[in-house]
Amino acid sequence: MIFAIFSFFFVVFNSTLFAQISLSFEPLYDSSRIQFTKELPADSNQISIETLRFYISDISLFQNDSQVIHVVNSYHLVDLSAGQAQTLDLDITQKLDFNVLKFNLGIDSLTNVSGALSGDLDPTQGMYWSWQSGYINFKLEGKALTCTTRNKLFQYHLGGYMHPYNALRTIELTVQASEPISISLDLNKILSLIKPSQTPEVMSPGTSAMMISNIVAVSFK
Amino acid sequence: MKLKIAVYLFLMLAFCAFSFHDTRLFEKPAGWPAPTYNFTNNPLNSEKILLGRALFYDPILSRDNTISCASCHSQYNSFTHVDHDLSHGIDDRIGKRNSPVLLNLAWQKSFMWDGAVNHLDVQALAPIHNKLEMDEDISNVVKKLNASELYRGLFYSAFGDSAVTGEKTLKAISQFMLTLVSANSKYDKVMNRELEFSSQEANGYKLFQENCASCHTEPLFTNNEFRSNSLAIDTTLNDYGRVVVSGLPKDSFLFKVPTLRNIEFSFPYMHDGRYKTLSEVINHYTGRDLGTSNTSLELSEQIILSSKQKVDLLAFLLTLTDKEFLFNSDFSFPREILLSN
Repeated sequence: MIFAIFSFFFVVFNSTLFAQISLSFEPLYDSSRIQFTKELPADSNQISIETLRFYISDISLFQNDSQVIHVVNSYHLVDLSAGQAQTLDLDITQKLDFNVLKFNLGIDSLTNVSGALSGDLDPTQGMYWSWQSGYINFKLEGKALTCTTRNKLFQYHLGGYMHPYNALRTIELTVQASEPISISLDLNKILSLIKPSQTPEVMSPGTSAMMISNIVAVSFK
Repeated sequence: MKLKIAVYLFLMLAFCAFSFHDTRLFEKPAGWPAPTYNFTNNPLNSEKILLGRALFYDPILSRDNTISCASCHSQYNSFTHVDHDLSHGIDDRIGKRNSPVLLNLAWQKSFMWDGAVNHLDVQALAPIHNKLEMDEDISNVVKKLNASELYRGLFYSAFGDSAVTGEKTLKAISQFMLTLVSANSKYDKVMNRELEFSSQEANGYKLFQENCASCHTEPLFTNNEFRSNSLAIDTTLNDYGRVVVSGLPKDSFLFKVPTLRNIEFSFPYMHDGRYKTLSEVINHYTGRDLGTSNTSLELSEQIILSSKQKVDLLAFLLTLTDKEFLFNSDFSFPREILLSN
């Protein structure tokens, strides 16, 4: 009995020692071209970013091909609008060996039809469409010198959960089992592929949202 | 032993009943299908319903505190907007559709004329954010509610926590809307064998079953689907309905089949309120211009009614009026709360 209690505490103690696995999301960008400011800077910068927020969900870790852990109900709102990295603590309480991270960019269709939810999923987070039900998976807003829109604005609100316009994307990355696991989002790549001057606004589900979601999905590394 | 099992079963049943919801607050009328709304995620209680009722009637939901849900959904006409083809909101701005009645929402699968809203809990976000309706933001609504002593108290009694969140606000509004059940019309009393139709109503009911019931299915008087009833497009609005939500060309001109309950009081009719009277509606369905604009199969054959038959059909439609619903004080402006300070 004493042994059982002892080993219980040992396990608890041991797991808390090695417990926390966290993810660090960092925006990657060429600072001579892109700045995280509300207004377009007067100098040579060509792009300013005011908002960069996205949901990640359904996180799992793999060692080669076998799943090590699947974090249940993992829905996180990542906000990189300040241009700084953001770290998320995952609800994992054991030491694990892994080399692959898998997560969804966005919110699954079941959650999209589940009514009002709390925490990161609360509609007050500004990541929920009002005129048509559904979460905004990814939001990128800013200004570009090349945009001919009013105030040179570009706005991408990507989402859509209904067939054939499901904008959810699964991302699989080879990662180091470091603390935290660092993931970068390459904004140079995203903006050079989208070309804000040609497509300045995508704010509803459809083919454009699907295409830009593909671009964002391949820009994580 | 038998007694033990009986007691056990009774306790199990009692537990199930309470974990589902309090049956005094919401009762499924006999013979009706199971509700679509999942009550286990938002179990009804009278404090939450009262909070939802206060929110429903309080213009605090709008940008300048002038427009409440009840502005376009008044009880005396079955929670729709009387007298206007297109409903108007903040600063007298005119919307693009006729507001629908609010009743039997627990059975509704999607909301809005085009089904743009997929769950009752998130329905209120649409009018709150719409520039022509309340022109507000849910996060600002939550801020205003958190700053209100009255609401902090109401949230505390409802949720055991005075901190207001978007989720709780929306769920409380759902709770009130879920209680808006209309099932006490003359039609219902005839079905329950408490009353009988007049011969005119009985004939109208027969005509209804032959010509209308495939879409306006009993007992909810809607099949909850989207259909085109061949209305010509109003070029001042260019509203193509469901296609805007689905992006699928086959959904052009499709709108939600509305319930016919309390139809006597929910004029004007159609998604754009183009018909003021039920006679105009019946004349549309028996008119000769059907068969255009992606018309749904149910209307592929011409409906032919004599003028006497039209009157009989109208007499039946009036049996769907539920006075107990229209005058139920549980649904009315909560004077005791909103006028108390």
